[in-house]
Amino acid sequence: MRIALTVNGRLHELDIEPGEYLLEVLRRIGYKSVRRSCGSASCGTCTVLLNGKPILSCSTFAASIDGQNIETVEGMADGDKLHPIQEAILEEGAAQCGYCIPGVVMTGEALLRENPDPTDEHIRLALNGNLCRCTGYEPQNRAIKKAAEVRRGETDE
Amino acid sequence: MLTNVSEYFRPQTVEEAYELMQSDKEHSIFLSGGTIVALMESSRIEKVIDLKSLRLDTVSVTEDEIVVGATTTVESFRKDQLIRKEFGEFFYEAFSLVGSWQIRNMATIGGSIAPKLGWSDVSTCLLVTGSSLMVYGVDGYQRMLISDYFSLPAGEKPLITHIMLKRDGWYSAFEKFSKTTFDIATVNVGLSIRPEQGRIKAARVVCGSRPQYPARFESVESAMADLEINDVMPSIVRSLLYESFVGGSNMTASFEYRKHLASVLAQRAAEKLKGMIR
Amino acid sequence: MSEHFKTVGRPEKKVDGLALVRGKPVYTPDYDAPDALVVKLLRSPHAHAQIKGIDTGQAEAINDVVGIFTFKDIDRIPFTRAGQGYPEPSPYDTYLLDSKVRYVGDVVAVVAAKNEKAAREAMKNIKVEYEILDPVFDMREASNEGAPVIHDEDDCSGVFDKSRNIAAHFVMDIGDVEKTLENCDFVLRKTYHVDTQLHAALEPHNALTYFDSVGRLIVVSSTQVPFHCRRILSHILKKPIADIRVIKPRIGGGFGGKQSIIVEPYAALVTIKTGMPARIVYGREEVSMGTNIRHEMSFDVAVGATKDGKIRAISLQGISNTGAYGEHCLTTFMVAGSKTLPLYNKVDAVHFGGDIVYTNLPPAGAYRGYGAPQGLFPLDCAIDELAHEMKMDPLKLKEMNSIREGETSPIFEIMGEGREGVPQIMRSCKLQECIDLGKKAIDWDSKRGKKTKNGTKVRGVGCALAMQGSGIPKIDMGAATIKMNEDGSFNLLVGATDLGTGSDTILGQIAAEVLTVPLDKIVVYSSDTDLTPFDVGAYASSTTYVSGNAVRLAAEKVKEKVLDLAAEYLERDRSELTLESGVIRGKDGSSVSLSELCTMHMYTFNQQQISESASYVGEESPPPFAASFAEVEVDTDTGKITLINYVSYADCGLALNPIQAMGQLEGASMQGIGWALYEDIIYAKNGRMLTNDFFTYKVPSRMDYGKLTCGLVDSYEPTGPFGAKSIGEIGIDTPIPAIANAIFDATGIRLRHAPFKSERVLFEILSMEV
Repeated sequence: MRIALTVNGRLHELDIEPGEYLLEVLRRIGYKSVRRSCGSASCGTCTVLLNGKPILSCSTFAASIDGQNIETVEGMADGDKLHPIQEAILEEGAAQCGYCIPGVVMTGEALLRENPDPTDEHIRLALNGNLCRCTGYEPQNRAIKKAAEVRRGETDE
Repeated sequence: MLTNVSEYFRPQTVEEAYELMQSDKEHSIFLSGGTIVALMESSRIEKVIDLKSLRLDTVSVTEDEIVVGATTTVESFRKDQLIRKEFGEFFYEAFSLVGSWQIRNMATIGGSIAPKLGWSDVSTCLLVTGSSLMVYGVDGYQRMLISDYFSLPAGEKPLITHIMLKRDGWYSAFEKFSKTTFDIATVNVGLSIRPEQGRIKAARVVCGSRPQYPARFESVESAMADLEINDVMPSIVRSLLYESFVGGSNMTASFEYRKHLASVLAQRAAEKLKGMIR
Repeated sequence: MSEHFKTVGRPEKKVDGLALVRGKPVYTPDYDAPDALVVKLLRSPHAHAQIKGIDTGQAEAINDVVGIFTFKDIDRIPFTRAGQGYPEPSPYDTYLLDSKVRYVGDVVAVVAAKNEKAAREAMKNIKVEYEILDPVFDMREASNEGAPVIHDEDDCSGVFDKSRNIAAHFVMDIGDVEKTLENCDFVLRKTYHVDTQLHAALEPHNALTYFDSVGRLIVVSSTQVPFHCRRILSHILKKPIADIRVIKPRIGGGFGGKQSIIVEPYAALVTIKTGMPARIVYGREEVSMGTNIRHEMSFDVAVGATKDGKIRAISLQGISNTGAYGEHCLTTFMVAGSKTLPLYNKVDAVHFGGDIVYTNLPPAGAYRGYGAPQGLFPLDCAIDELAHEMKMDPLKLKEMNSIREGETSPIFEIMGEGREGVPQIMRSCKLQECIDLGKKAIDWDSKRGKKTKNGTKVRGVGCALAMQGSGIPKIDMGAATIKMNEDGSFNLLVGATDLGTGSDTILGQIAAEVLTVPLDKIVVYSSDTDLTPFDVGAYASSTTYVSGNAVRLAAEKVKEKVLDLAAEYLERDRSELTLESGVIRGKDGSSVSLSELCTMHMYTFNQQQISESASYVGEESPPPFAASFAEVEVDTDTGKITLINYVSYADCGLALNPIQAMGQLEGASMQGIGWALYEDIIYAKNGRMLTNDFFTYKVPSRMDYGKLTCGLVDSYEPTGPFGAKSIGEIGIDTPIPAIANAIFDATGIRLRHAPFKSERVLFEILSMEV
């Protein structure tokens, strides 16, 4: 069957199998930041934004996304200029193996759109579904807090 | 990918959706949030019937009820202004630890009830608030109690179109015990009471993830009638549920542990209610 | 110390950081191979069975199925999956495909198909006839008379006693423990048991294999041990090492789970049999059930002290469960002693010994800590218990008896990994500083023994001290090659394996420091057996110390070469020249920059490629040290343990990159916390692992801990590169004992079986009240 979806502002029209998940389709059309890890909706690695909301691409049928708007981490940077969350992750050492990072960036961005000044508790709750086995979470939580400050600073200007 | 799926339907009406299912029950599934499907990995499924296209995702209010479309997501339900106005922070907090933010953006209210999941916090909370269902089945549209829906044999389940929440002004509390914060409940308890002049006029007591699906404990409810809402009340509720608990063991917990936990959670829910009422 | 350095000791951003935050396709599953066959493995549903017959005819006839391979189709070559130095100190008891299966999940057949659907269809149509044998699951019963024999085959080797399922055995004595205990005023004897754990790295095991244009076998794999992988593939598949190339791209986590050669042989087999590229990707259930898990261990511990507070004797007698196959079996058991007992070096007598047994469960293997956490639980908690008998602060008792700088322990010489060790003196040991900072951070003195109550909840604090090692001395070798480019930059080629640990970055920092250039002038390329020199791989906390020293040596050589060439070019005496900030200067002001020098030597003057290599083997294995503290809140009504605060301070020598080093300590702490409180492997009665996905096996999430405070103390190890030791594993050693000790402080209950499941805790509390 044929679907059309917008990924990071770019329209894709493509043929899919009706039983395909969004994860596989996104990878197939080149968005390899979207990764498979647990296959049971339990780790958040495959998180993308659907119309601005974080969802799990491994458990979403591609067919159900027809005509909708997806954002992945490939669309977060502006050319050479990294998104504040990406920059903060680099500064805080919040990426070790890096496998969870795209999911963390997307969920973090969705949080900051909803809540530009989140507390530590807000960050933990919003990202509770993004598992990380390497970092022990602290640097990532700090990175999101830092990115929130940067974003607020930019908009004030 | 579900490798054997050959057709993906986006029905525009409830009738159409129901007919599609009836024509090949063996190989079809209703798709609402999708998170359960990810856990299934079934090669039996050949047809997917996507209920999201029915646009049953609004919340509206009548004089006695709040009517919630079955494909409303858990997250939008939880944050909905009408729901918060009516039920305070009950659903907002009770659902804050349903899965993860991502799962809450996908899972739907109807999709949480339909598979008769043992561990559904959503089902426990809707049962305890006395909610009922609007379903569409062989006899067309019908109202149905959630507990009656749960008693239907598998394969005979009508399509849930709406969930009706009673605007009865009762006070509700929910407690859940789980291993980690991103985890299904080991056991959960919902408690609702209608207070009158410092006493419990009536109560609804629900225990879920027993590990079986959520059920009302009528014997506890009747024993609670006319109890004074005082400092001793929560421990009475605890003993009552402990005596009446019905459940089982599985790899997550033993029956004895669940029984004990359920009673403790009931006490804590009762403490919360006491605090809300006084 | 690090104020003098320009790059070393600085929190430089990771050299691969941009790729990680941009989500670039840098992992093995991202390598495109559109015509690669899909490789799937048919697995045994039985824990112990003989395969009487396999009929693959129907399966092979399915459209798009290219080949199905069973034990009949390959040469039977015993090997070990363990990624260890050769000759491996693990039994050769594994076969790529066998006519016997030894755990639920053991591989029965390899299916190669053009797509996933065909592969799955094929698996359903392979008919296997099993003769089911009695299994044994309990490690305490495995070596009993009459227990089913798991490795009864004739051709396995290196097994200690296969008739009794004993894969390996070890015993060591210093002095006479029992005699010494007789003269102690306080003696404690208890049994401690630690359950197994899953690595749960986010990237599943996977590999891609193909023949290149001249028929060499190329293996791209998520592996911690590319060189061991190459050698073992050569051995199993009878292909010369020269014909195999193993490439490790970025890895999504390993923690020891990728320190065995698990998936590569199957994909390589398919490529060899079919000539086609092959890709194998394990599903999460397969990663859990079909790779490696942690060694479950149980220890009978005895510890004795005299009234003056001196611990006089320690005995640890244990059993370790290696599952169906013995990779890493002896070495992990020995580390349970060799990297714990030297902590208490002032004793008169020590005993350490036990058996490592086979059971019909998934094979255990390497896992961060590698036996040390399993040994530290009984050791630290027994001393903690003893302290209470002696009415002493347990921190004080541990502090008084633990090793310090300038001291040694006879155990270093007696116990290595799989063989004897080497004697060593602690040239750096800042354990006291770790204790002092940690105890202050948790507020030990005012919180201990208080049992602060809040309704049904009660709080307590606990402590634990730990050590680890830095590489396996006289065994682990790492090498580095540095070649210069005409713009004054350098390619640093190392075999060392970065699994997200940041080793590429810190190795680059070492080279940058020696060569006096910024980090972005060092281009690091690692873990490619064709292009990078040898390295044992990422394990035993060896990368910083062993590979780091190799890099330092290679960089020093390059520096020497550069100065020699500059002397020639500038026509000055070598002794007058210095290299600073990328410029060679003479005393009289003459100078040449690195880029000028290299450009000339590449094109116009005394042309040569400036390039040097160096190798390093550790003569010693200087331990990092840590002191950790846990504050818990026990809900006495539910048994739930909430971690309020976890503090861990470590001495890793000089931290080459403080942020990356902290990351190791924090990450390892969290992994240990998960093991202590949440991670639980449950088997069905037939031996099938039930908790094989993240839905059922719970690793900690962001809301599952309160405060996590880690720190690194100032230290300097003279034998390490710029004073560094290691930090990769030690963090995971302490959470279980620290939390157990905190639970005791809160409730008076001693939990001697980890993890501390809330159901277990509750019933302990209830039985105490009765």
